[in-house]
Amino acid sequence: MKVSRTNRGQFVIIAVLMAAIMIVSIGAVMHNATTYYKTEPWEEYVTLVGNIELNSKRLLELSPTQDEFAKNFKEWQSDLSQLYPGAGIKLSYTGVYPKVTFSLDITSIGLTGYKFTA
Amino acid sequence: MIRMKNNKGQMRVIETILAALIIVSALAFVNFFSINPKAAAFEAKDLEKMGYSVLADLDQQGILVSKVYQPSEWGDLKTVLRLTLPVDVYFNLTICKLHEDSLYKVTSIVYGDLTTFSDAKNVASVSYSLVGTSEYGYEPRLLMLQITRG
Repeated sequence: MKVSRTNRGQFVIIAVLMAAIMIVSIGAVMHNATTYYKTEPWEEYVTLVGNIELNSKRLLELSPTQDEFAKNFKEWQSDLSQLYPGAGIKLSYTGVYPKVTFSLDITSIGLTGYKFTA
Repeated sequence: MIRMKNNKGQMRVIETILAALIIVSALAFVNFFSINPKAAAFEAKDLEKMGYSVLADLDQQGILVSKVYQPSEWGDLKTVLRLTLPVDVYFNLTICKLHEDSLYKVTSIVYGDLTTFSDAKNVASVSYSLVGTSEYGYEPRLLMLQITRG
């Protein structure tokens, strides 16, 4: 009887330990699942890509001729690396002015071949 | 028999204390990894996101370009930023001009005391570029926005 009573105490500890593990597991699952605490899928590059896209399209608007656009685009390509040093931005375009398709690479975030049309 | 009962009671107390310790440490463990809105990491990221969002939104609506390139509109730009950002957020917007591979400061639009930024726990700094306007042609500008909560 004495032995049996002593063992029962150990079972309580095990039970509490299991309950604690359960609490931790539920906490971790809830942390990942709930939208309130979850890290939102927003990163700096989302705005960076949007910024470059919007301004590249604007570059077409402020360039009245093909020659003007080619000149401005060359400067914009060069200036992007000055404005965002270390980002590894490479911008190119295909097509004929004013219907061009831009292609954007940002090596720092592993983005390659992101295309957008003006 | 009396001694045995006493010992059993002490064991129960120890078990309860152990159980409480395990539960408290489990909660502390979870709390350590969670990033709640009061956490410093969340606050810095939140400010950064807010800064980018406000500049991107104003640019998409065409407000930013019309205000940045005209010195007479800088007062309005300050008002627009004040209205767009939450009341307790202070900002320091520096407009820089890119000329021959160098950046030159054009102006700073500040809302709030400068000590607010030096004393603040969390200050987010974001950069946003503008390519130019139809009126001014190709004239790149870099906007550097610092924001913090007062």
